[in-house]
Amino acid sequence: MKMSGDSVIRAGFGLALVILGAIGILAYRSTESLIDHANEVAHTLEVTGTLDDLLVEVLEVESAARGYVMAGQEFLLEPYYGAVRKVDQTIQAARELTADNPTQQRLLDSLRGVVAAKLAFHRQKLDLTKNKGRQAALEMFPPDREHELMDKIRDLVAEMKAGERRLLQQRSLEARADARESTLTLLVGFLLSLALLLLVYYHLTQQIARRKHSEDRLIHLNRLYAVLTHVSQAIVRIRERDALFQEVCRATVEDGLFRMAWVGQVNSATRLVEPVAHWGFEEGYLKNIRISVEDEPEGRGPTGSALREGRSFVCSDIRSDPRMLPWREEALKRGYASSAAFPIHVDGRLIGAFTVYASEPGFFNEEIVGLLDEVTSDLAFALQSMAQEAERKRAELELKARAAQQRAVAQLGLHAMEAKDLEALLEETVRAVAQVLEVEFCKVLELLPDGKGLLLRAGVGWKEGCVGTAVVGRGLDSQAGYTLLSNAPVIVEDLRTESRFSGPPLLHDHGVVSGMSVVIGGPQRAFGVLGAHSTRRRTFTQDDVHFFQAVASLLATAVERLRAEGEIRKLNEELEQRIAERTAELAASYRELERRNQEIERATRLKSEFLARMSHELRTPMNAIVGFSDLLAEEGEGPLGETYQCFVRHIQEGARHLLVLINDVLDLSKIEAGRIELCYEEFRPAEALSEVLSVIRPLAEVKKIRIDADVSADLSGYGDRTRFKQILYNLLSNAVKFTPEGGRVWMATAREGGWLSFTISDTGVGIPPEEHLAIFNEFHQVGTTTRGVKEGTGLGLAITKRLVELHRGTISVASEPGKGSQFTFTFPVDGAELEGKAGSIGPAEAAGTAS
Amino acid sequence: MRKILVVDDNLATRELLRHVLKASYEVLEAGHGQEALEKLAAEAPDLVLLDLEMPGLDGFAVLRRLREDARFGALPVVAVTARAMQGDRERALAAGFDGYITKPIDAAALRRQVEQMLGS
Repeated sequence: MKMSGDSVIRAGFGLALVILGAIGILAYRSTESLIDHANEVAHTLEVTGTLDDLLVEVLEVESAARGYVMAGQEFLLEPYYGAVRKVDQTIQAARELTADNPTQQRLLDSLRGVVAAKLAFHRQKLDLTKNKGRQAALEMFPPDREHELMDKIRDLVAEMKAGERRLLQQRSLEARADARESTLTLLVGFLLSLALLLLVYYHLTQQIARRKHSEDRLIHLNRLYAVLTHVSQAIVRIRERDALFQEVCRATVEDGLFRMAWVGQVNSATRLVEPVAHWGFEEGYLKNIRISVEDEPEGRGPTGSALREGRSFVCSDIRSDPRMLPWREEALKRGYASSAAFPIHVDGRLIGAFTVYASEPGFFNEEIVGLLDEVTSDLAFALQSMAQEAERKRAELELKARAAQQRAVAQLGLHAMEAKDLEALLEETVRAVAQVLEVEFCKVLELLPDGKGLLLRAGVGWKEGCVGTAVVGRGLDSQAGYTLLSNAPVIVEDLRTESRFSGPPLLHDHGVVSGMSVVIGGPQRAFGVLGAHSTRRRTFTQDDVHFFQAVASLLATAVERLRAEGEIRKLNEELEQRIAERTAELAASYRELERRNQEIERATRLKSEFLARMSHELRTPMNAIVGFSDLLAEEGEGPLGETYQCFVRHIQEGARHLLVLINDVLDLSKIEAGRIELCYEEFRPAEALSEVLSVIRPLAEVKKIRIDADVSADLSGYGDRTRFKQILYNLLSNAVKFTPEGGRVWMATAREGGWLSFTISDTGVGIPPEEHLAIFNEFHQVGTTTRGVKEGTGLGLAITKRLVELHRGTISVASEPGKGSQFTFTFPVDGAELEGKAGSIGPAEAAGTAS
Repeated sequence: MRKILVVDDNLATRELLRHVLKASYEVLEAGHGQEALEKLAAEAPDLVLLDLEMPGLDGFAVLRRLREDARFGALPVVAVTARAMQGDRERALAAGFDGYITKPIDAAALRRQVEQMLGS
């Protein structure tokens, strides 16, 4: 297990402390033992001193005792007693001093005994002296004994002293050995702790260096974060690409404390990286170096590799990295020690690289590379949004341009539809096209009638005097000529490199670079060419071309229309002439018609007048004839002879017949002239029938003809009651008239929907089928010879048919000669069948609804 | 005997009417409008048979003058005319005639109508 720097420091430091502690304890203990030793030396010295003192005191006792003995003077005993006390004290002191040493205690015990003997000797001697005198004492207690005891004492003291010295010596040896050991231990401990401290120191410095390093790195990272922030702000603030590059470089160098930063783009032609922005200590570096994106020596640096492989590349040490060889000298000269390059991807496309140089080797660690990667991707993001913004703006402009084009087309279209003056329309067109397409020049070239050239008919931007006079060729020597030949829109990006046609002087004279042209009108009937040109290099979009074609097509339509209108005007004039003639003819016809109408009206009026007149004029003489013949028949003025009576009857009958004829003719004329007015009402056919029968029955009775006619009393009809009666009268009187004596006439009634159907039958002579239709014609009568009856007017059935038809009914006949006849007519039940149509409907139409 | 004034420019008609009516009535005659008005003032007839078409004052004009005179406000005046066109009868009745008889006259019918009008 590897220990971290901190643990090593902690362990080393702890160990050193332990060792120092141990050394301290050891030193303490050594000192203690030295002190002990010193104490022991002092003790020994004290013991030997005490022993010496004892010896001295004993000698004092001896010499005091001796003095007394010699001199016998009492005062001389003073020292003696003092010495004796001291001897005891000294022995006691020695005992205490050597209490821990049994050997010495033992020797001391011996010594105390000898000393006691000595003291006893001297006391006895003194006592003797006192009592017996000196001589006795001297005899009794010889000096030999004295010396013997003394020697013993000396020996014992010496022995004790020697014992002490031995002990001291031994302890000194021990102390020395201890001291040596201590010294060694101290030395070792010192060295050990020194080593540990050195280790700790080493680690600490390492640690500090590391701390310092990470602090530096943190500072750098912080600065890089500042770069990131700055770049983020710049992205929001700066909407222009190169300025943003510049700002990113500046922020990276200033905030990130890099030596230099630059953004390069690949020139697709040379495959070389070209700087577009840089910041920092550059001093012409970018101008002096060459970086390629190909896999070649000059393409293997970080920038080239990043651009080639699409990921970031780092060169940790420019001095030693062999890949940096091509640029090493220049780089080192400018203090670049390491570098990193980051590819810029926009929309998945590599658009360039961001390269950064640091002034120390190995600067680009993972974190810094990561942050710079982030800076680069922020930049890329900004570029992407810029591109999107640019695209949006472009689309917006495009849209605006499109709208302007559409407006222009609509406006021109309107004018093209109604323009009377081609010149003005062309003028307006070239102005509008130049404005909408944002070109300086626009022109309409008209194909000359001889077809050999094109005349500049209208234009904007051209030098004065060109419009109306300049003529260009119609072959491959002009754009217009080429356009006519190709019959398709011709777009010229750069006239200077154009190869499809040779340079037209008109365009070259005006410094035209880009342009487009289309044919006005179809290939068969080309009017000319519409052109738009610019001195700026310009790419025309498909929409521009469409707009241009639309304008050309409008012009073509207008030209065509104006041509056609010219023709139409001519035709119109002819037409107007013809119409005027025709109108005059028509007016004449109309006048003629009017005249005829007036004539007809007059004729009708005359006819009516005639009818009225005839009615009046005939009735007046008829009045006299009828009136006077009646008076004659009355025989009021006297009786007439039988023959005259007969004559009068003939006059009466003839007059009545004539009257009926007059009335019938009048009736028919009125019906035909449409002058008859029907008086519509609801009535009871039964009542009308009985009124009619009251007139018919007397006639029938004369011929003994039986009439069976009955109509239900609650049946109702709708129409002109008088005319209904006229119809019934005509049919019934006809039936009676054409039925031989003793015959029979009968009438049946039926209702069918909104119609009443009346059938009058008789047992009369009958009518041949071929005459069934003709009998309803005016003045038609069934052959008189076969009928053997009185003649009628020949108008009765014609009037009857018309009256029925005026009520929208029908009338028909079924008959065979000799088998009688059946006349059937229909009559409306109510107003529903007549509503709004009274008197104005023809028979054919009426037949359809009534049959 | 009641007096009936017959006004007609046609002599035959005047004659006919006189003969038809003479048995029961005193028949006065006038050949034109003016004469009619004169006879009217002079004779104060009980009934007038007035032709509509006459030269000078026609029947309508005579009626109008006649009705202007308070004495003849209630005098029965019957139109006797050859006008048999539709609407003629209505026009005459609307103008103030009390009756309408078309020519050719039916003697019996005429007598009946006159009798009815004079309530005799």
